[in-house]
Amino acid sequence: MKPSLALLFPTLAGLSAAVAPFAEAAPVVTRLNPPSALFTFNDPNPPYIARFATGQRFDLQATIQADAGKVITSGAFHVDNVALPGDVTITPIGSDKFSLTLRAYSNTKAGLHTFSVAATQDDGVAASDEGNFEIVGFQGAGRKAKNIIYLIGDGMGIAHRTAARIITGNVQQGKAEKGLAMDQLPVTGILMTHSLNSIVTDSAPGAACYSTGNKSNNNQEGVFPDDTTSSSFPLNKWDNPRVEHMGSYLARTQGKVLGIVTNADVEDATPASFAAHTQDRGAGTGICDMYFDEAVTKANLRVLMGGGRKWFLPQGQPGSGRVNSTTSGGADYMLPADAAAAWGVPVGAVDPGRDLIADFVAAGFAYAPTASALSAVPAAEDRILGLFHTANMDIAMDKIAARRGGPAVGSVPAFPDQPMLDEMTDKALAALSKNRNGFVLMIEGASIDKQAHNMDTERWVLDTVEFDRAVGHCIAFQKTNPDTLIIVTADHECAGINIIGGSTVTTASLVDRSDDLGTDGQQGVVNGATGPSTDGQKRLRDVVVGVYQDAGFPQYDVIADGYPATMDVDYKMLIGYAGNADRYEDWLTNPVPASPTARDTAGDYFITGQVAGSSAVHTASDIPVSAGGRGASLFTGVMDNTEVFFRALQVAIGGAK
Amino acid sequence: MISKYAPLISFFPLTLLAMVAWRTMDPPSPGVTAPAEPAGAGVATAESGSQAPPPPGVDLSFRDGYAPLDMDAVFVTPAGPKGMKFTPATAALNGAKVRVTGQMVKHLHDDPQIFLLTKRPLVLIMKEFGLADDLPASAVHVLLSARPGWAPRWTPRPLEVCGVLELGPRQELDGRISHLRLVAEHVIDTEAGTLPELMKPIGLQPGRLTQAWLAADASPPRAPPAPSLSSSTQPTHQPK
Repeated sequence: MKPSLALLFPTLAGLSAAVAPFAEAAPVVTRLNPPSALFTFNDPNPPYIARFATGQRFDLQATIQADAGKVITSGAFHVDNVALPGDVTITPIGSDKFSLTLRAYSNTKAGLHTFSVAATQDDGVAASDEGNFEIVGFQGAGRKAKNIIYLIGDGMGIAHRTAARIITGNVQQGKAEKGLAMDQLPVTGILMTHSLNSIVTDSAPGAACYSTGNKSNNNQEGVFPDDTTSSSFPLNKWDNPRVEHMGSYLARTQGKVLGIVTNADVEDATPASFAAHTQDRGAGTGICDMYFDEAVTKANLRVLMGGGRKWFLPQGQPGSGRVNSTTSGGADYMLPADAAAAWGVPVGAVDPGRDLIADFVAAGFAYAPTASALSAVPAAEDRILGLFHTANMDIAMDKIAARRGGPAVGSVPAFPDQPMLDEMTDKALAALSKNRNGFVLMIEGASIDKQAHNMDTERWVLDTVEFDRAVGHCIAFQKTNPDTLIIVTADHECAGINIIGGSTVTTASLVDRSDDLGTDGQQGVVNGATGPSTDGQKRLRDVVVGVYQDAGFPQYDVIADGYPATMDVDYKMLIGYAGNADRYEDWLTNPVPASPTARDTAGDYFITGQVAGSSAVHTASDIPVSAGGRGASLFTGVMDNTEVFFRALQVAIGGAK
Repeated sequence: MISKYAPLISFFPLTLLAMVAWRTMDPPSPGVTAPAEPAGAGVATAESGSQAPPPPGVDLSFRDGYAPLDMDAVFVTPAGPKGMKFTPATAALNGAKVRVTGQMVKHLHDDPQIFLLTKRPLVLIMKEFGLADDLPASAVHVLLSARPGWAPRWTPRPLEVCGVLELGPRQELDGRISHLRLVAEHVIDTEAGTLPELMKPIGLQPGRLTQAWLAADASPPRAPPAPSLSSSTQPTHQPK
């Protein structure tokens, strides 16, 4: 790219403004989708921002700024100087701007393509501009993968994996006695995770790239950004140019079926990024309706499991979250007519009273609201809807505690029978593997990220272990189904986590220190800013955080259920956060997931955050990707996250050695 | 696992010791602490069963007119295969004066007249997760319509809210469907022994009200309140 050109733009704009009274006005193309460096920076060189599989469908879209009071009356898209058939929809979007769309285009010729838009104003003045995209072809190279399993540990960077290994792997004398299940995967690479509009992605583009092969803006799933973003446009969340998901693409071309499994709300960003098309990852009513209206029919969605039952209950039902708007938080969906027609999907409806569970059941899905019900789903069943919670499912630590007969915490009292992720995985694999043409399955360990945001060490570590157990079950499946590709990765790193050392004191000592107000007798005074209370640092940092050889080898006792008996072992592992918000820290397990500035205050050890607010943030760090099974050898090296999509399709379509 | 807070948690219901009433009154000026109620005898709560000296100058006898409501007993548990179901006791309190003790959820609500109350501490990261969250169905939307634009600043200490209970679905400004609402008449800080300072609601982010109004639909479910903040309040980030 040539950013120097971009730097020239302000200068050119200034010159234009200076001569404006003498310049002839003309309409201008201000946005061209799919995005390209050719359009934005006039740079035709790689890397090409938009890439698609042969035949993968996507929308072409342009925004034209017309002259004041003028109207764009016609428009056309060209690819490689050939006019594309089909009607271009012209939509006025205010301020003399017009959006031009040509939906569901596809191209089967591999290689780089130049495309352009030409629009004509009602006074005959025209505007045009060009961009480019690449079509990726797949060469026959060996045996194909019948099944593709994505396992996404949300927010799981390299240190999350290391921490989970330390508490389960008995690291002694410099070596881990037992690695993680994901450590067994033979090939590992590194992924870059930047989104279309930031070096730091959120989960929506961070996961959608694996399903579409393309970048999108933060908060967006299966779409490119457009200029109808505000709620003054009734369809603002739903009219963006779309990119076809892997599930739909492989259902259409190979007859595969799709499964989505998470321990979050099923409308959360990562699961929705494998089936929904929206600029708003929070539009839960519409996203869940899309699962049924589009994914069941177009992507052969056959398994959907997680929390988020609130989106499936009619609004009058206590616990329902369904809304009566296409623009509000949790919005329902309605599509522009051209999008619905071109993609062959319903236009949708604002229907807060919809009973979505009933719709799934009527379509032949077995419905499981509990772990027991899931376990009882007949083995012959090939369609499963599992909704185990109205919101996010409870985290591993709380589910484990309840199974061990401990106190019911979190929302376990209301939902005492929630499955673990590996149990959901087993059922999903059993159902999907009934399809002779194979499947795409996404399994997400969601609360690794959520608890890392909250800088709640024990909770995200245990959720990483829960996720790793699901990986282990997939590896076992792959051994008996060798034409299966397993890809274990994340969508981004969360919280800048790393293992900084080990405690030099016992848990009993930590408890004493965490309740000791120190010499000033005050609680929660911040680092002396309003008083002399820095004694928490002396008690809980200076003499507790053992670094280098003082960290030793923290030892955890993993019991029969696969999880440590306690996270509060003597001389425990200690975690630091580089993406941290303010927090108090006493290194002990928090009995409830409280705010980082509300818990641990008695110990008076305050750690100043580097970001504002109450939550640690995602980082732009690269993340690991590990692969096993058919075609795993392709997943090595340092690559862009979108590349995973194309390499997976290479294995599924062209095969691999 | 060690629950170091277990003593504190079990003590939670016992800590209604030094309580201060927050009475509905005309909205104060920004940053002004509401005056205390006239002096009166403090009470130990029915829950505590203990007697601890309340701070002087607080009359909490009004609490006797409010029936206690436990958020853990709002719905039949365990939840059924589909929706939740109010317990008969909860359903019978619809429209009645009740008092609920819980924690103010730490998040930035789009509606300045509302804060969320849950039984246990909770942080919502709306910017990150939207409505895909951990909010329990038993969460209470506390409506501050009596003093629009003003609420206690977020506090980690338990609060007791006294007001009129409303049951049934209602779509809130942030898109969330509330099922339990409490039209607040009093908010009581159950631990601090001081009045909850009346601030911008959870007033940690400049511009949040402006953001909420900008994001509101042309025909919002309810009219937003009249702005009461200074003109220095500006959005801090662009809408998507």
